[in-house]
Amino acid sequence: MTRRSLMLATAVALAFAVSAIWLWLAPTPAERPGTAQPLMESKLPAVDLQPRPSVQREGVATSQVEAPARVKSIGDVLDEIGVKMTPELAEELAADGVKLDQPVEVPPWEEVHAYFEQKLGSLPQQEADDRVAAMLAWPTDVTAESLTKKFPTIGERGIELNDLQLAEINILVTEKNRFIENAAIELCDGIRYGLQSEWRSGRYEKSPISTLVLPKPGRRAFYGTAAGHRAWGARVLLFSDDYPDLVALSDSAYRARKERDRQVLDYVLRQPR
Amino acid sequence: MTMFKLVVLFLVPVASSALNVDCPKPQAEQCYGCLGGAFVNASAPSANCPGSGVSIAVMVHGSDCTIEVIEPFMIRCKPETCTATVTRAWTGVNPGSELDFCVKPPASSRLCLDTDPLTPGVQGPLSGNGTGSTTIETFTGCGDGTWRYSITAECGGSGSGASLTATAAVICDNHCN
Repeated sequence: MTRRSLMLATAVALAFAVSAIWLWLAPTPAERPGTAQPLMESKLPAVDLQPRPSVQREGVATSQVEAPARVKSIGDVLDEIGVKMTPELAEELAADGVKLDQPVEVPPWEEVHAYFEQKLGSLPQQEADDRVAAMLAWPTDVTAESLTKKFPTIGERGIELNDLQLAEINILVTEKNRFIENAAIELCDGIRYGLQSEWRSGRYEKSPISTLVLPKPGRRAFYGTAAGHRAWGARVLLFSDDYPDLVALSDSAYRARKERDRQVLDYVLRQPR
Repeated sequence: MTMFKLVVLFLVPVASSALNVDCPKPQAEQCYGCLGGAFVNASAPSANCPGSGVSIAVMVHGSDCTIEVIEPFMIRCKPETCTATVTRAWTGVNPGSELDFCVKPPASSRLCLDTDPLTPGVQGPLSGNGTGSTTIETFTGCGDGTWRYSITAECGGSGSGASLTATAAVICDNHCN
């Protein structure tokens, strides 16, 4: 080996060793702010926010923003609470109008708690009344027109109901309608109780910006309610296996409704044209 | 053995084997229904709408299967639709702005035509003045995938670009799968 070859080999070895040491000392991508997940890059200077707002899962009351809120980007806020941004999640957020580079000031949860409790921690009477009406699905004023609208078969068969027939239909449905209405009212009372119970025991989920960042439940819910307000989203789910009585009540109401409608149609189709 | 018994013995297996495979149990009384499921989300990307909010609530009811005779000696379970009641509410959104009530069927773009809610006394299109709510009853076919109902409202003053969204997902699964 010539002297020149020996020097060249030494230089290469030295360069390799320096590179290895430099790579070992350099921060990993995960340690470099703004580079681990490009979707959450912020144009704003990095600001330390302690304690961080965190995602509440399954009623574990861990999410408290106690420090004064400071303006950051939505991407930074989500990054800080440990949200793993995937392209699918970014797409879902974008569909809800969430821009990750948009500045946002997240107020402490305590400031918005009362609003969410009012919206999600109970069932407003107006909403209960609307649900009872929807479950009853029967016209308040029984006329030939309203029944033809509900049962298009009447019009298709060219049947014109007279006052006597309408009165008979009213008698026919009275008992079933009373049952459906009572079941629907009882169901709404049960839902109201369920929401109050879930809320008071902390079994609600909340997150800054959107509930879309929360993990999806692996259980089936028969009722769910969500609200968005002042850079927070929250939701409450009533799971079917936690409330089997309410599910059964709902079943009985819908079966009675189906039976009522079948009886009315049977009656109508027996009438002469 | 009478001729009648012979005929019955022949027909029972034929009818059973001809049952639609959607529901695995061959007896009509074991035909399963559909399970309904609800899921909800809400997004509020801006804190600059202190008096504004939107909310959504959904109740989903499953369904039974009915027995349908499709040919002589051939019956099948015909699943009925699941029923969902969706209530969408808003408070303090931009006066005069239009509220979007949209529905996104599975594998399709969203349709924002639902501006004629069934709530008595409320007619669409609706504007975002003050506070209000609307309830609709809707139906989802068994195994039809997820339907999403939403409300989107502008907040934070005209031209702020801020909005609030709440979405309810309704799914109706065939129980016998």
